[in-house]
Amino acid sequence: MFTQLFGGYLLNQGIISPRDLMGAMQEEAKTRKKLGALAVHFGYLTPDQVEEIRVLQTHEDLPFGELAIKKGYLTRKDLDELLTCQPPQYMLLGQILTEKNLISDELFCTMLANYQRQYDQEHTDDDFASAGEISQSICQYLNLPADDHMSDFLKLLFRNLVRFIGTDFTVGEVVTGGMITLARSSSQTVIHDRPITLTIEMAENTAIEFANRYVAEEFNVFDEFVAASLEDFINLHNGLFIVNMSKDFGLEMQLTAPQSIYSGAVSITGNSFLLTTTYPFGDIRFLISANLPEKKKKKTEEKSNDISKDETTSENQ
Amino acid sequence: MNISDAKILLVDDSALARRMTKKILDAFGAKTYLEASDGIEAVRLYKEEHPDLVLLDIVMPEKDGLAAGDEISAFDPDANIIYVSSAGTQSNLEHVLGNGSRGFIQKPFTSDDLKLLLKYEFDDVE
Repeated sequence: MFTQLFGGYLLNQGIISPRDLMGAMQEEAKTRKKLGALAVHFGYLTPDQVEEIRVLQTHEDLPFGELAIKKGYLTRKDLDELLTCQPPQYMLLGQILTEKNLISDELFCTMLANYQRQYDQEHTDDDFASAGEISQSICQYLNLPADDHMSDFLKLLFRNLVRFIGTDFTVGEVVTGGMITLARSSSQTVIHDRPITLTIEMAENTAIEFANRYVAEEFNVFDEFVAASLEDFINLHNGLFIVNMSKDFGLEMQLTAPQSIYSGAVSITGNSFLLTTTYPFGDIRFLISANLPEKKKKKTEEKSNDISKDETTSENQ
Repeated sequence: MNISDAKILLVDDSALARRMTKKILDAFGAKTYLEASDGIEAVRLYKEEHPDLVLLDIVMPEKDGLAAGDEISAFDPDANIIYVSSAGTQSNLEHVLGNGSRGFIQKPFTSDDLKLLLKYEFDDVE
């Protein structure tokens, strides 16, 4: 597994019962709400601003920090700094479990060490590092702030390509207009106040090789399993994204069921952009629709915006 | 109970996911499977067949796994449900804990991840 909540980890290890875990998680959620007090203590917010956001929380389903950003009282950087003053979610949960004598200190430390070893390590090898660089380049191109969640989304997408399909791809120019004709594709939406719809698209033969790599089996025709591999990949990616958002930012998102689309032309509107990743077996294209800034994006013809991984020039769409 | 005697209901809208899970279960000695591709079918099959174990995805069309799991648990409070999903968020985990699920496996998962939970359910899984 590549990520999991600490509570789920303890549950699956048989350390704690579902009922005890639920009680502890509810208490942990109450503890996390003290971000307002922390913000006042460090001078980020006034007490009146904290109270205003708490009132807003009664009718807007967003965490305290996200609402503060929405109101313009905090920047993303401010929130990140405040969050580093709080212990990670799993530490708070563990503290509650030990205080309630549901697990011993010793067992908590052992489980924590195992959990961190398995799930909390940032990959540092070159392929993952370049995923971060590529996603930052794309966000700059789209005039998105460096700390926008789209950057996390894209970084994770490239990392998942590296993990599940392979490292042998290049990334073409970002396309922000025109039309795309879909061959084999699948689409899914991350549901939140800023929804993201991810569509993966490729030719039929490309899909067969995609499935071969993703499933590590031999497929020779485009059948239901090959079609399902496209859905599975985006479902996996989007699922990991929303788990990270939940774990790292307290943002709760949901997913629509992925849908396969077999043909048709789609326009790349102002809120969409197209990414092409080129593998030796073919192009995999990602159409991403999100709430992009209204500032004019750079023209696709400018060669200085080429973000190809191996610095080769890619053709315009 | 042995896994070879168990009736296992696999619920996932992805035929590929069901196939991959069956492959892992085959290696543990499972023999009898039921399959559903959405929550409506899952609830119907549970009520008709009373499987010994349900492996339940969350993100599905028609009726999602959370709603299906709630209905199954209401019908049979002793239902053995293990949730298997890519959407292992805080809110989803809290929801399934409310109906006493046996575990929540985050996709993608390995044989060892599933084995961790199966050994609590079946005598012959070590």
